[in-house]
Amino acid sequence: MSDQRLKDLWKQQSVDTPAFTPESLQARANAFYRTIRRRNVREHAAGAAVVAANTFYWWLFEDLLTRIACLLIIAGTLFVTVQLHRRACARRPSPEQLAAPVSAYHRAELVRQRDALRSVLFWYLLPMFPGIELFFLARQLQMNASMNLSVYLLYPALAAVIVWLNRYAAGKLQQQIDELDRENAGDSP
Amino acid sequence: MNPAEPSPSNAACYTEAVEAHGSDIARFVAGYERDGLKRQELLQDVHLALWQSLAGYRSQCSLRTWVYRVAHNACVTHIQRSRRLANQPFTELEALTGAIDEQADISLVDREIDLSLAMAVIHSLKPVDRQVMLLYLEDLDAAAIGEVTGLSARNVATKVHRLKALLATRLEVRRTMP
Repeated sequence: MSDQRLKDLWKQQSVDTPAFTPESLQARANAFYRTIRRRNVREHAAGAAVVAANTFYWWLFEDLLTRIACLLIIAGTLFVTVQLHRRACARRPSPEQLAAPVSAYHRAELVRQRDALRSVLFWYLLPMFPGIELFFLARQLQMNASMNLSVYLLYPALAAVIVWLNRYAAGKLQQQIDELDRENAGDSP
Repeated sequence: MNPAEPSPSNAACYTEAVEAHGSDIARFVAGYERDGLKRQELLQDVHLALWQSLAGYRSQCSLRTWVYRVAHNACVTHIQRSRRLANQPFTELEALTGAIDEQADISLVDREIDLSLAMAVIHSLKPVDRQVMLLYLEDLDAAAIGEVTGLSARNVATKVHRLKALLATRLEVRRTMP
């Protein structure tokens, strides 16, 4: 099949070209922002619930160690909430980013997603670690219970699984990035 | 101003872009999404991205290059999300043939089958190859494809040569089938 026949075949296909009014585009944008806002509200509500629960524990338990643990958990929760908000804001692309050359845009998106997955340990899991572990320790000491190490391993084990899954997904993205880089390397003589 | 907020000042530029390249955008979208309903949604997303992006258009490049970049970027984001959600199986060519056998005009049927086969090939390509293929089919030369994709004209020319051969071979094989 000749070049021109291929192109004619492509260009003569029937496609819908609906006219989008400014109002319909605005409505689409609003729907998108509503979804983002709802997600933000859910995240903030979850953070508020953790803060409220730990404020209650802070009031309920009078020993210093438990109270320090509660404050650490609250601080960790606030840090994670701020990070979630900051990362959600960073995802809104500028006009220049929207119109970047396709390979650069695609690579930047993959790198952003890879880095977000790789860094989950540092901004999502580690900030909660000291407070949670100290809380278990404080409660065991208060109750004079025998030391049960498995309790202390719960959070690290869960975190390890999450980190492994995220690293695995990040590895898949890295393969795509490498593939793109090989494509671009084809540019060099 | 919030760059994501559509502004009425973009209206004239948007209208000009859609009048000149609306059909091209629709064909690109068809090359990225086979499901009819999702295609409509993607088309709307591409138009929204275009509308929002035009707030930053200062003739840095031709309007066509700008429109094509925005369209492909929105489509690439879409297929990345889709890949995370599910892997949809390809439609068998036999099924497509059966669906359109009832049409009387044999040349139209032939063209529809060719187009369906071309679409199946296009949908199986990885993003960078798909962009090059779609832009080639829109009759852009290697330099213009390079400007949209960011690849060098030489690399584009090599890719076009290979992709064209792949597509032509698939279509020829179909013709020689009994």
